[in-house]
Amino acid sequence: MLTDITLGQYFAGESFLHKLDPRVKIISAVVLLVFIFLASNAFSVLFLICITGALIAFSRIPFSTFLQSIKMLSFILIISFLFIAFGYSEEYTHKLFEVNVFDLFTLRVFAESIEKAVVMNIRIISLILITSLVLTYTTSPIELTDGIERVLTPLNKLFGLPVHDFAMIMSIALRFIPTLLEETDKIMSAQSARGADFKNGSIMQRVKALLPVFIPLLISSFRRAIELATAMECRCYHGGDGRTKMKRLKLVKRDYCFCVFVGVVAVAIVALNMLPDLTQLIYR
Amino acid sequence: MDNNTIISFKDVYFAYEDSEDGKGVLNGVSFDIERGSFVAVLGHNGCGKSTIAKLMNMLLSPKSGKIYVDGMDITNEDMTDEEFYEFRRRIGMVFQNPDNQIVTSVVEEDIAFGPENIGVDPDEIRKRVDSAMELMGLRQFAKANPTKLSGGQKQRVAIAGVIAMMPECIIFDESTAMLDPDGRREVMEIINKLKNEKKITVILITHNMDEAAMADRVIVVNGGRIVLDGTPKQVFASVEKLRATGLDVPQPTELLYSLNNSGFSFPEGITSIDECADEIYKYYCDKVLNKNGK
Amino acid sequence: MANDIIVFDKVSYIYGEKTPGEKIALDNISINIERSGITGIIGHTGSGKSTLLRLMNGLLKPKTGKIYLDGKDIHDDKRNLRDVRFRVGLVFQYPEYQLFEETVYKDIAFGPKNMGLDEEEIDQRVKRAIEFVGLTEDYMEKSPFDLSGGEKRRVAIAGIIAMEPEVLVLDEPAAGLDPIGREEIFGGLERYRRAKPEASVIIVSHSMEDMARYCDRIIVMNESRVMMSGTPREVFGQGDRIISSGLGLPQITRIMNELSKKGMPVRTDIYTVKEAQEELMRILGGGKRC
Repeated sequence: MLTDITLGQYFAGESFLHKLDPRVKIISAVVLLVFIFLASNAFSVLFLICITGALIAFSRIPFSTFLQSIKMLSFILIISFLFIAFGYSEEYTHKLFEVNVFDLFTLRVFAESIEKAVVMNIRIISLILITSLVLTYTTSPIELTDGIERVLTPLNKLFGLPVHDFAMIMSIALRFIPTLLEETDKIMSAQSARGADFKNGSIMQRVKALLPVFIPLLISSFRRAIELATAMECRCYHGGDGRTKMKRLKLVKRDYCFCVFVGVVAVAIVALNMLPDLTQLIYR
Repeated sequence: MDNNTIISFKDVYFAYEDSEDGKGVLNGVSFDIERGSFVAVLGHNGCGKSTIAKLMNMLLSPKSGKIYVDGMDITNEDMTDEEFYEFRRRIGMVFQNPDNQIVTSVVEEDIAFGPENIGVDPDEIRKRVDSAMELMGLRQFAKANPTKLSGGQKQRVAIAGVIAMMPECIIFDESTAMLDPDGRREVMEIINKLKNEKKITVILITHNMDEAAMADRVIVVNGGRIVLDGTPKQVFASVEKLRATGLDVPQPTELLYSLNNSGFSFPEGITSIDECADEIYKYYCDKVLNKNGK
Repeated sequence: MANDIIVFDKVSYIYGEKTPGEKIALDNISINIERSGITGIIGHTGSGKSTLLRLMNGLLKPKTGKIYLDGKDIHDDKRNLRDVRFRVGLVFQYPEYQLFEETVYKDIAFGPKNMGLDEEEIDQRVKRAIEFVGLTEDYMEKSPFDLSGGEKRRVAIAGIIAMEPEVLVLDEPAAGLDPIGREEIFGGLERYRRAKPEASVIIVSHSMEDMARYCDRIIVMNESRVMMSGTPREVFGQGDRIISSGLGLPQITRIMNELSKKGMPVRTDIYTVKEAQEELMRILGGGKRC
């Protein structure tokens, strides 16, 4: 059934990472993102591997989940590896081997290019794993929305960005995704009962066969939107002005600890970047 | 108007601009709702009963006539925003489709939605949400996603969301129509609880006779006018008139009515099974057993 | 057996098998639906009724067991499955939400068109169907979205009737409607039954009063199994069993049960007001003015 699809990959839990303030997580994720990109040599990416491993251990999310994410990335990883490994720069000096392709051109592979490719792959992997660990895996969508709203509120004051409205849209979307999936499933069954065929025929025919699903779904979404708007009005909703929140977000010790940790990671990456490349050390 | 009246309609007229067939119009409706009472507004679809609910909550404004809440004219256009939201807060509303009135994907956050909108202090909201969940028996679902709940449970979440705003009156606009019998029972039990324990005025908009029979007072609307108004006994005594407006009567009422048509003289307007059985049994003891005993 | 149109033979169905949310929807059930007349299915939400309906027309496939339509296993040949859907017409709950065409005519014609019928046949079927549900031909060119809730529902039901199925299955056809709306739906079904005595109708409903009034046979589902089946008299006559499963009895049956408990010699297998009136007049001694 369509309703079996779970959206967002939140793993409910009680770990250190789960309990962090969403604002801290969002800002940390952005900072980490920048510094992961700055990690440029073997030592700093080695450090990244350690950090990723530590966070995985902290999150208490099954390891197989992470293998799964890496598997999904494999195409990008392979492509980027090949491009960088076979790429050429005048700075490269330590040739490892050459491949002759049909006597047309020669691909040369250097120790430096291999190092660069490995560094890039580790960077991509840790980038994905760390951001999903800090954000989507350990933060429920509703907390995430709430966090984004609170982090961005200064932008509302500075530039008049409709931050609250954006957050409300997100939260309503999250609320209605399962409802609409269930409805889609129901309408599809109802039209199948009238002989609609979604599985056979050419692409054009199949797209056409979906009209009897899309039109009722669209109409029902409008109806729901109108009813929901009325219900919200009845509950005195009038935008973000003068609105309070039940949940008070308060930074506690663990949040400060995590901030310090992110700071240390940032400084460590910058420091490790100053070390020479691995190739240079080997061939010295 | 005395202090005992919470809502008062004075000769209210209303028509939708795009309505062709006169659906939802009101042609001069007047009534007073007593504070703390349980009033059912009964009528078939399109008779104007939902329009009455929407007028009470200022979702619509009348073409002519006045509507008072707590003695204050809510049709007054000079009302400040603060006054406007204050009156909305006092008259809560629960709708028909439980899915389309829940705003967030966590039960307790949804219950907090209303108080948040009117700027209640966070600690106070927490207290209100907790006590509303307690009253509605939703404790164990505090963190649950409302989409996983049954229809009756969803409706309970919606009611809790209204209760957290500390209303004086709650309007149930066909709130049981989409529920199964278990869900209906849940909602009707809650209505009794709100009335008895919380002293909240309840207005139930419905086309279900059995539910209307549970109210203190039944107002029957047809063609935008009030056609019957009284206690359930008084209203359900008018079987013919109810049928003429496209409504039906509960089976106990129907049974006694048809027996009376065959020459008996049972009291009219009885709606409950027990009362109906009692009356028949009384007659049986008096007339049949005693006669045979002689 | 020859008189049965649908036969469930030891059918089980499980949702989300081998996942944490695994739920047995039907547990080894066997039922027969007779070739004509109205069969009612009652039970709590989640008792397996909806699954039962979806199995009947092949939208779901049973985990174990066989489902026969007119003596043939519906899953014998995959190519016949679409044909099964035309022969067992399923009207879902709130069917008005599946309307999508520009006109009432086109919407009702959707099913027959999918059957590959020719224009003339489709035209006749649409006209017959709209008559059954009590709408006039004036509605044909209207947009279904301009109709009232009750009318929309009747158009949706006409959409299934136009496929002229051997078995017409309706899931809560009167849900959310007022007394007039209910009357129009059930009135349409009565017309349909009179005009097509050979067709079988299956109704799922929560309303015991409606079931008592319209059904020839009743199947009571409880906790994924068939708890009882028989004529309304047989089923409602066992009031205690129905009540013990948490389902209600028609109010009129409850009055008779109450009277019997008080010691009046009344029959307790009564399920319509008319019957109750006759029974009471027999005991109370007819229409003497007292």
